[in-house]
Amino acid sequence: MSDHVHLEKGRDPWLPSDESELKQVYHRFTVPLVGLVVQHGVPYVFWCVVGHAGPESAWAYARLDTASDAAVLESCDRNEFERALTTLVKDRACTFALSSDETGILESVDIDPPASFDDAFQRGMHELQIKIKETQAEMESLMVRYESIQSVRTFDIAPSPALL
Amino acid sequence: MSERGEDLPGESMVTQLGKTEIGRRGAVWFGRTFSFRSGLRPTRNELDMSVLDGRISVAEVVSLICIGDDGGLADAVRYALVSDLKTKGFTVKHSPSKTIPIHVSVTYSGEWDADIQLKFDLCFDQFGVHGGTS
Repeated sequence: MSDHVHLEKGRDPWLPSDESELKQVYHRFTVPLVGLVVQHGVPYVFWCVVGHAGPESAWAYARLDTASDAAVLESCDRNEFERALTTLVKDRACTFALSSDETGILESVDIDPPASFDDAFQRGMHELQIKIKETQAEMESLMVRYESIQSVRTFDIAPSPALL
Repeated sequence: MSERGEDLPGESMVTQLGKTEIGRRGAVWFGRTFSFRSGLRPTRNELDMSVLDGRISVAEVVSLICIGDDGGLADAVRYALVSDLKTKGFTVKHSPSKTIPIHVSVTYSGEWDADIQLKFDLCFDQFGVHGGTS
């Protein structure tokens, strides 16, 4: 089992794959904002990084050793909650995702440890930019190799004349 | 802390957190738009609309809800009278949580469709929208 949570595009961040089970919600505002999901018996704590009121948001997931590690989020008092979460996810393998209320998870990227609560957004956005640039470079490379791709590059989607 | 499930009195106000989008070209701002959740999707774990008890500033709201995030230009709040929500058929009950002691749940007994979303939004019209300033 990977250190990184498995995320499926189009899923809600708090139930990020078909095999996920939302075990606990520690903080919510209309939607779960901090909670515990389990995939194939492996626990991951998730938290909303930005966009707590939607419509677009960013999320982070960190693998825990056992689900009981997250018990500290239950036992701490309100003033200790942020510190408890920060300590819990420190130096763990992390996954970062962008989501929208309408569509669900849009894109995600794994972040190698040590990740932290404070730098999840910065590192996540940086890794996503790299991923997008790599995809663009791959597309450019394919277009050089296959001219047929180049020829349809500027095609647009238009309604069929039969439908007009 | 108020008891969970206790009705809020009609004269109380509630605060909802939303988001600001700033339209700009370079350093010139040409408009701001605001977005707030106005509907629920019960099939996606959204069982009640979260608001806060009282008329609360953007900075205070963000400090309660956005753990690890500071309030700023991207944040906005809007306010409604509980009596307006109740008149339009919503229930407004205290639902304090550990992280948000002044959490309030707004629910509607029927389907929360587009008409109900509009009714919900109208309750907040009277007091305008207040964006973050820092």
